[in-house]
Amino acid sequence: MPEPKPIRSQILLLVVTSFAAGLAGCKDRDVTSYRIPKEAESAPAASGPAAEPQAGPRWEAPAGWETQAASGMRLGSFRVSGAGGTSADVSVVSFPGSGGDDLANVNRWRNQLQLQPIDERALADSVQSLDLTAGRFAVVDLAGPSAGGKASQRILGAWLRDGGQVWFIKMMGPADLVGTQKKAFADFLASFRLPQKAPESSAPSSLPGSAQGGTNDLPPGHPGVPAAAGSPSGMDSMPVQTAEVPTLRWQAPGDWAAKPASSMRKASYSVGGAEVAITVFPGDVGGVLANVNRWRGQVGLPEISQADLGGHVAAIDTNGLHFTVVDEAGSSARIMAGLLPWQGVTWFFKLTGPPDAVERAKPAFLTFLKTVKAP
Amino acid sequence: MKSAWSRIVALFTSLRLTVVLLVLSILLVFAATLDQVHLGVWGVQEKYFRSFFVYARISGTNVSVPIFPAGYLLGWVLLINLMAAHFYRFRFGWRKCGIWLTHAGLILLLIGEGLSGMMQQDNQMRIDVGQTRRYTESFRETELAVTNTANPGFDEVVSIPFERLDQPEPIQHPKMPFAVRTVAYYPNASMRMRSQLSNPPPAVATAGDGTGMVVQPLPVTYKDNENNWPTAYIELVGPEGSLGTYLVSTMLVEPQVLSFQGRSWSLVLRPKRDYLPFAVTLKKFTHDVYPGTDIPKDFASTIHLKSDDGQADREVRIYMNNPLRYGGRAFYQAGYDNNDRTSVLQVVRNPSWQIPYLSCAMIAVGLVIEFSMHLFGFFSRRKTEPEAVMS
Repeated sequence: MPEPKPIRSQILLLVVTSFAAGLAGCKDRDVTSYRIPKEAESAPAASGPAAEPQAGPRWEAPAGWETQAASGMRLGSFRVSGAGGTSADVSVVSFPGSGGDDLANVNRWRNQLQLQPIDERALADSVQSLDLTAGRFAVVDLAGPSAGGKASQRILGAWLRDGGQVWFIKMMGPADLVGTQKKAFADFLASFRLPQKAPESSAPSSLPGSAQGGTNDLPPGHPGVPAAAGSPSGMDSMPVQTAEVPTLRWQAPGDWAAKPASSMRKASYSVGGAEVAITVFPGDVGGVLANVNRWRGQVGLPEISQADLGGHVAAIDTNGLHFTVVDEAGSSARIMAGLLPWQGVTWFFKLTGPPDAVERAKPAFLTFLKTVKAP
Repeated sequence: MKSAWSRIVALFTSLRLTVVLLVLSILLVFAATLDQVHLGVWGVQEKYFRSFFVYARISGTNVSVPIFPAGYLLGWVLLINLMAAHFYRFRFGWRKCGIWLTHAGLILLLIGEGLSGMMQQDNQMRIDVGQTRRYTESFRETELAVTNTANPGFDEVVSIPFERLDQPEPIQHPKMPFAVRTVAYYPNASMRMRSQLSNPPPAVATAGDGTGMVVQPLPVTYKDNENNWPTAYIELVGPEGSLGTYLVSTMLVEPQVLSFQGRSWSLVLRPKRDYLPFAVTLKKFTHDVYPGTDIPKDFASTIHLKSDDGQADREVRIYMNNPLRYGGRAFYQAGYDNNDRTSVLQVVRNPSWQIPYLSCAMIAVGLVIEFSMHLFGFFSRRKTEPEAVMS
């Protein structure tokens, strides 16, 4: 081997070390900033059959409310500008189910304003009812404390339950600005119109763009498709992330009308006057007892203890999957649910609606559960 | 000194080192293949190949020690070995050009893999029929997006990599009027509603949507069929003190809004976004199956591509094995969801994607030249020495 020449050695060393240093600097973990146009990607495209707007509530925005792009869970979003560059945010959000009880909703908003939670007795003084075209709204007006030089924040909030769905309309911003918008907010609620309900027989075609029944089967050998993780209904106020969760497969009956899934829901179907929602959530979501008690609460039944649980659940073993099935009927609502812990997440297959509608849909729902299988 | 340097050069130019490195690489690949059962593809890549050492934890402690050279170290030493041997051993001449080309191709292949590891982005775009998207989302990386939404025309986003929250020092940025201080950092966690627990621990979050939540830390998972839910409690600290402690998590999709100094801000922990200089609108998604079966025949997304500079304004059909390559990114049809209303595109951005093709071509041409020269040499020798060959 020839004796290396020093000058060559140094060049080699320089080339290698500078290249190494260059590559080592490529991984970027720095805080960065960038400017983007206001997001409008949720807006449907201008033309084409696929671009038909989905059936949703309608409203008229009061003067001075600047429409923002609806994104994520928001069906509608507005900005209201005030003096001195202040602004308030208005959101219209819809969730399946009852959206939790009134006390939980009010306390959630109170928390956002750093107010202490209230109890049932104080709730009655806090919530007002407003009978408008769309139905009976529950309305609250909450003002937070002003502390540390920060302007006081205020929430005008309203919610409306109808047909297994709840709509939240919320304005939040500086107290002064929100105070000037009370009439506009009331006008907005008055203009609110729920989606038209089609007659029962034409339900499958009532939703533009929706498919009938259908399957979510993946082809054999297909790479895992990220599934929309959802939450059980009791966590309706907590929108969750679309994420990679291995998906299950099922076959919905042909007369179930598929509804547009939101980021919370894996799928949902309209079944007569009832609704089937399929959601998935990481972990055990509190276990069977907590879920049963939450559902009992939603249909107006008292909580049960662990000792009583055995009498309230049944098991269905199908396709190697073990469902815990619950059927809780209150006077005005009934919930039938299949709860399936699988691969670190919990799937919820839930049938909700008026007791008679759930009773009619029950056989199809149980048959449907038996079509669920792992990929 | 000179002799020490000579010894180093002798080490790095030796063929023995090459053989040792190749044997270690084989062992590494073998061990990684076995461990793939536990860690999945992503975990194995990170542990065995995209690091300098393979670490193992001393049992009973939290101390990890390097136990084996990993992909980056072996690759780098192999690269140095190849280059050094070339630099010192080989002399350029036309008879050697095959060897030169083959080695240059190998070196380029190693560099290309290094560049891919450092620069490749694997993102996805979930898009509903009729929707327009201007960004892709990372599969693995998470960012805390602190957005100034006060301007009616645009949003000013400060993107903080989630891993940066794993440090006690407050994070500041010229575009943020407050600092972000980490109170608790969980690479993976689950959440429960406080109202569901009979005896919940004291609330950590004082503002935002997290006040009613309880966080339960979970171990990080690398399995392909599980995913992590990054979560953190962060405190926003302004010039006059704390603005509140917020819970941020990829499970909380909706941005949390706050108002500070008369401006509105939003906070959200989300998959890291890569904004595109063009817009993608999903016009149509088709999912055909063979009649009477569930076996897919074809699934395809027809998209409209419109670039900001006006150079592209056209429809493109993306289907299996026929990606769209545009703007330095390749869009592959990866899946579908939501009763065929949502198309899932895998978006790969790899500035060095052509290097492996180029390096393989160089190696192939180099080998062809080298073997051809040997073959022609053999024939010409046979011609001049027929008797010797016959005997």
